[in-house]
Order: sequence, then structure tokens, then C-alpha cells
Amino acid sequence: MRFVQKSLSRKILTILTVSLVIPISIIIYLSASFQARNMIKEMTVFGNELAHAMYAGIRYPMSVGDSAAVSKQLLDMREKLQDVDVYVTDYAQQIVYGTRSELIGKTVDNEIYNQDYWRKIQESFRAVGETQITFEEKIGPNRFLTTVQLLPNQVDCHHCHGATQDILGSMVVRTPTNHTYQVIRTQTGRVVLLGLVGTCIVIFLIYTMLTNHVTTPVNRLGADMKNLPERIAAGDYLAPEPSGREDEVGHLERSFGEMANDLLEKRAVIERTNRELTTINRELEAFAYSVSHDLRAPLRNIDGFSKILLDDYQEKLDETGRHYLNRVRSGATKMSQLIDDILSFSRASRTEINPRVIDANSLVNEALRDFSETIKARDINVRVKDLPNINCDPNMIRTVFSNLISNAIKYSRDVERAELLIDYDETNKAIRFKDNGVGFDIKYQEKIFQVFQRLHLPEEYEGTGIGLAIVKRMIERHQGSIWAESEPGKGATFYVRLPVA
Amino acid sequence: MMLSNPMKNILLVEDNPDDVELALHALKRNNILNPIDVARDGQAALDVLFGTGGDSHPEAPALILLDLKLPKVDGIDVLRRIKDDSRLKNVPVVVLTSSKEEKDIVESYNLGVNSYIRKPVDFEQFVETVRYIGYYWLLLNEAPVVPR
Repeated sequence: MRFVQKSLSRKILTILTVSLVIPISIIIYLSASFQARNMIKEMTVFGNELAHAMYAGIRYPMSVGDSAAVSKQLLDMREKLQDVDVYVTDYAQQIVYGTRSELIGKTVDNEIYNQDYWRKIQESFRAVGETQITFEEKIGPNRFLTTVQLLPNQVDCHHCHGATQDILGSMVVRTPTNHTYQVIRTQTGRVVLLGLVGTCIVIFLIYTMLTNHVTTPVNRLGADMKNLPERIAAGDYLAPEPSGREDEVGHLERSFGEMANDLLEKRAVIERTNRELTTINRELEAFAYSVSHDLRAPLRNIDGFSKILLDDYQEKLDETGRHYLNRVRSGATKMSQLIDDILSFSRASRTEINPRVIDANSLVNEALRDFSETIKARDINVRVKDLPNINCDPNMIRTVFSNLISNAIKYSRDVERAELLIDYDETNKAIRFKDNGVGFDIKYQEKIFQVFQRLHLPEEYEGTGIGLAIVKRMIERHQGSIWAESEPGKGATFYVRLPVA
Repeated sequence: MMLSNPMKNILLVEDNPDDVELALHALKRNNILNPIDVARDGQAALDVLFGTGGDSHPEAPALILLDLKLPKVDGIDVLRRIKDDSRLKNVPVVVLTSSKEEKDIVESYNLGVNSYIRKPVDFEQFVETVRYIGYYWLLLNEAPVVPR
């Protein structure tokens, strides 16, 4: 898993190293050991040939019993090949001639250290098996290649040795191989070193090629992609020129370029829309301002002059005239209320939200305080259970809670003992306002949250139908949601879901 | 209602003739008998307060009732001129307007308004409001003498 998390170039490097170093190491090892074996074989051949040559050289002098000539041959040999030992033994394996005079008279089995071969040689002595045996010996730190050449009893020997014995003795040629092994080691070291250096160069070349063609473009794209929306927003971005490659990287670059251009275009659209929205919003604010100011003035005049008529021209009006004037006045008051409601609703949409984390319990309790007199007078059973902390604009959400509590109290005033339960519904992750008032038909659920939509006559329950519309707007501005459950005559439950802190 | 300084004027700055009439009616009903100057726009109000020219300063009013939304010079600018003027800055200014916008309220207070009152639609309430204003600013409140 950790390998997967490494960067792309690290992965390439690891894969290259593993896939090249392991087989190349095996090849180097095999070739080095093959070479070593070859050298040993060559050495063996060399030993055999040396033995043959020596045998050929001393055979004649021995057949004529010229020991001085044999010794001379051996001494010549010693001069030519200084580190090669040659000695000739008799049948009793006593050394008769030798390149080193101190060996003469000694028994050869003390000089042959590889006892397995020594036994084989003795068997050959008895049975005239192989006439030449070559083997490796190790004496202390020194290694030797030893060739034992049996000296068979031939016709021209019979005059001295008789014809009874098949073997007269042996000739031993001992060549030191330390130097050869040294050469093998040096050679192997050189091969390993060259192999590793070569591998490294190959790895480096492939790695550079791969990173240039894959990792670097991918990294560049990654760097381009970093904070792309922010940089596009800041105008600090130019889509890169496509490299025109036709492989996956080229495809990636093209896709990325398309995406970046798309973002640039979208950004421009968003900016334009934002400007338009800002203008519209400003116009809307100006509209709301003039609604608040200019629409109210004529209403004030209607009410004022009606009142003056009622007060100062009483005697000129009959009962019906006064009734109509009062209707005019209440119409003006009603319209003034509607203007106020529209303004409240528009303010709920326009006012800036300053959210902070706050205990919903304290907001509910603050909202309840405004209704404490009614709650006491009507002995309403209000229960508030543990509520969570929420992240919201406290002023707005206090208004939301206040409106919901106000509704619960209003629509439960014909119930004998009104109840209001405010708690947190874990299943729906929402604060719940549950009353036992008149309730409503749930099919009007959509309608009750719309501006000036009411389910009751003004004579039954007063109000203009703005409260829940404001509540919904405020909650939506918090990215929250509100919904209701109700049945006529069975109370209503309102669920408020807000960002829980 | 007995007024402490019946000699001094009240300046009513209001562009809507109907509102002017209703305001005068409300003042009359409350027995506020001070002479009333009516200015129908911001420039007219400044003319009344600062004079149309020359060195002679008109007498400062006892109270200024100021609407905010006015033709020519805006109510806020009239308020700024009053509160920037060393002679007039101590004259009580009551903003009497239809607007309840927070920014109007804040701006007026930043400029040093003495009171901000929203005109109620209900005429009885309006008469009541005018009564409070007259009672408070003309009778109860002690204002410094404004030099000529």
C-alpha cells in the first residue's frame, strides 16, 4: 500500500530498478561463474599438457637410466616455470627426482593433501586404470592444481625393472592456482562493476525518458490544477499551449485545457450574472425603500383625513357614512400591515447573515420569553428538551423560533389544555416544535410556507400569512430546511433542520 | 398645553402637502401654538435656517421636524448642515419619516439627530406622537439659548 502512495517518478524508478537489477545481477553471476569454470578447465588442460610434455621429456633418460639427464630436465623446467613443482616417484611412492631437491627421498602421500584423490591414485597404481588424474588441492591459504601421471612399465623398462610390475611409479606436476583465482576474482569484480554501472546508466536513461514524457507533463498539469478556481478568479491563469501529443498524456493535457477553458468561461458567466444580480438587488432595495416610504404616505393621508372627517364633521355624517369611513380606515391599516410584512420578508432575504455557534436552548428560551404572559395566562404546557448547538445567525433564528412558537400558541388557543413540546429529533436531525392545536391538512404543506397564503379566515385566526414564509426563507438562507407533519384537529409538528455545530 | 417658549417657531420640513396638512392638524389638536414654518424641500429648509443671503441670520427655531425623503436637498444632508453649523447644532432635530430602514436610523444618529420617529399610519397614533414630541421637546426639555 505504501508503494501505491509514492509519487509517480518514485514508482517508475522502483519498477525500473527491480526489473533491471535482478535479471542483470543473475546474468552477471552466471557469466562470472561460467568464466571461472572455463578458466579452471583451461588450467586443467594446461596441467595435463604440462604433465604429458614432462613425461615425454624424461621418458628417454629414464629408460636408459640417465638420472643426471632426468635431474637436468627437471631443473630446466624449474627455471622456466618457477612456481610449478614436478617430482617423480618410484613404486613405493618415494620421491626419486624433483624440481625441489629437499623433496627427494620423501614419500609422496605426505605431499598429496587431497586424500580422496590419493586413494584413487593408489587404486590406479594397483589396477592400471586411468593413467592421468588431475585434481585441485588446498594447502593452507594456497590452492594447487595437481596432475598425477602414472608411469607404466613398458618394454624398454624391463631391462632394469623387470616385467612383473605394471606400474613403475608416478610423476606429479603441481601448479599453484592462487594467482588464477585472483585473476578470476578481479575479472568477476570488473564484470559486476561494469554491469552495475551499465545498468545504472540504462536505468537513468529510461527514467529520464519516462519522466520527461510522463511525469513532468503530469506534474505540470497537477501544478496547473492546484488552486485553479481561485487563480482563474484572480485572473492569474492562462490555459497552457497543448503539446500536440497523441498519447494518454496528450489526451490528458487536452482534457485539462478544455476543462480550464470551460472554467474560465463559466467564471465569466458567473461574474456577469453576479453583476446583474447585484444590480437587481440594488434595485430591489431601492424598491423596498420606496415601498416603505412612498406607499405608506398616501395610506397615512387616507387614514388621517378619514379620522378628521369622523371627528370634525360628525354631525354631517349618518351611521352608515361613519361605518364606511371606519371601513376605509381599517383598509388603510390592513394595507399598512401588508406593506410591513412585505418589507419584513424582503429584509429576511436581504439582511446579511452573521453565523456563529450558539446553544439552541438559549435561543428557544429567549423566544419563549416574549410569550411568557400568554403562556402563564392560558397555562400552556411548554416543555423544552435538550437541544444541540447550532451554527446560525442568532437574530434570524430567534425570529424563526419566535414565529413557530407564536403559531403554536395561536392555533392551540381553542384547545382545553394547550401543549408545546420543543425537542431534538435524532432521526431527522431536526429541532421539532410539536403542538396540539387545530393542525391542518398536510396536502397544504407547500402552501403554508408561501407569502400571504393562509388556511384560515381572518376572523378565526388573525394574521397576514407572512410568518412561515419568513421562517422558510431564513432557514433556507442557512442552508437548512423546514417541513411539517399535521392532521386537522390533531396538532401540528414543524421540523427545523439547521447546520448543527 | 402651556409652552415655555411660545414665541419661537417650529420648522416643519415636509414635501407632501397632505402630510403637511395632517401635521398642522395634529399640532393644532395638541394645542401647540408656536408659529410654524413649513419648508417643502431641503433647499427651502436651508433657506429658512441659514437665510437666503446677506449677513443677517434668521432666528433659530425651537424645534425642527424633518422628513428624510425630500426633493432637491435630501433630509440627511439638511441634518448634516444643521449639525455642522456651530449656531444651529444645539437646536433639537426630530426626524419624522415613513422609513424604518436601519441605515437611515444609523446615519441620522451618526449625524447627531435628537430623535428618530416613524410616522404611524393610524392618525390617532400620529396625533399622540405629535403630542409627545411637543410635550417633550418644547415643554420638558431645557435647550440652550441659540444666539442670533
